[in-house]
Amino acid sequence: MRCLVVYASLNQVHRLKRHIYRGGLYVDMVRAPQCLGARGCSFALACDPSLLPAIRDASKDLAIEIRGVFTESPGGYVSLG
Amino acid sequence: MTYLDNAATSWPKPPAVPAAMRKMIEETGGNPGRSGHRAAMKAGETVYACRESLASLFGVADPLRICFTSNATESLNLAIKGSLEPGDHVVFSAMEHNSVWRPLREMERHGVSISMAPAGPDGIVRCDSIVSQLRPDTRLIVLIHASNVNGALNPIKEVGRIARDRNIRFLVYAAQTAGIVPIDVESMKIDLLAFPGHKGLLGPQGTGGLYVRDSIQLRPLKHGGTGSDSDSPAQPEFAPDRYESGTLNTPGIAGLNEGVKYLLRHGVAEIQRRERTLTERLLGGLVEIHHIHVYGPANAGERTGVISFNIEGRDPVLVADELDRTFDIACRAGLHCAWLAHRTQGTDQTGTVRFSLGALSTEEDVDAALAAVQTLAQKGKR
Repeated sequence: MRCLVVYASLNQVHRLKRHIYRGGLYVDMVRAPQCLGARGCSFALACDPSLLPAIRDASKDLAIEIRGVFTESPGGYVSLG
Repeated sequence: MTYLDNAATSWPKPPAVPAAMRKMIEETGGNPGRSGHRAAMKAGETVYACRESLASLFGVADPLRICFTSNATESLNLAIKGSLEPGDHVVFSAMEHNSVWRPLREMERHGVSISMAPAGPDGIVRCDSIVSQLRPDTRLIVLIHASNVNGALNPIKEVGRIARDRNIRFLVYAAQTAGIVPIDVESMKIDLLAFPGHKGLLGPQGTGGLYVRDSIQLRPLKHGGTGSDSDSPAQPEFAPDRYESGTLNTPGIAGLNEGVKYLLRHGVAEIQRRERTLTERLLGGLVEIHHIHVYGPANAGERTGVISFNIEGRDPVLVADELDRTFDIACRAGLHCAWLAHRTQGTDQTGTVRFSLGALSTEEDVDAALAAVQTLAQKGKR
């Protein structure tokens, strides 16, 4: 089970990924599924749930808005806020 | 060929530049920021890597404030037209290129007023000249960092302080200095930095960019698809998406990244030091030749390696043509798309011959140019 942290743009996702990587953590980048509905074409960081605090901190540090946090489940995606 | 036209476009490029472009086209593929497949994501990584390289070069904290354009002219149009409202006032200099002057004249038709700060006889625009043109309604100062006509370097850091103290937006046109003269947007208090990718940054033609300070929100020049906020009829509010509608020149940006990485490896200060040595050699040689008039600052420390001159009584375009055909020397003659600057230095009726050095120029290039000019000057008037 992994989490998706959704952002508006690939540019933002790249910025966050690189920032997090410099802190010694690796997260993946994916195109956000359309059903997550973050205003159309969106991209997401995909990660183990344990990395969510680091991603939230990085988003805050860089002032990049999170447009949704979801976890994958057998029934689809569950919003984590 | 002896290539002395680096102010028009740099040549040769580091081999990694065309190699990266070729790889992007032949191997990577993909359109960044659109699809989610691996090729598109890989292309996006390259584009972001270039933003990071440029941010590192210019002292920009947030790479997302680097917006890609097709050239410096587009960057200037975005910065100027995106900043100004009817009733605003702009100060610009008497050394500006048409890529500044023409958008400003266009904005004049839309209720913007403009004032020109004179330059000294050497082409340098001094701070008091800028200050003398400021008004309470001045919204923007636009200043060329170094003249594309005679290489005169302007006091960007000092003007930046003047602008910041008065809460006036400061736009620097760095076509002849990006990658050639160290630029730090923070210490120089630059709000908007317009730069081409294909000159001092050693990238391919069709690339350029604009740094937009994080507190600034410009009106976009283009509207359309950005791969973000796709359910909205409005442009995104965030950079760089707000300013980058349409597919980017991804192969060009891949090449540009390699050019900038070359500069980061070698250091712009070192490149400037080397170019300054060549400039002294070229300047010193030219002024020794009879019947030659050289324009711009006499001191290499006050200029770049862009050197304009005329041979007494000779048409500069014909001189450049002879340099090309007889001596295999590539340079540019004419008004260099900068009539204002030529008017300032008194060559608006004649134009000049322009030699422009680059990061990969050599002493042999300089000596070949001096020998050729010596020969042409001795031939007398034509």
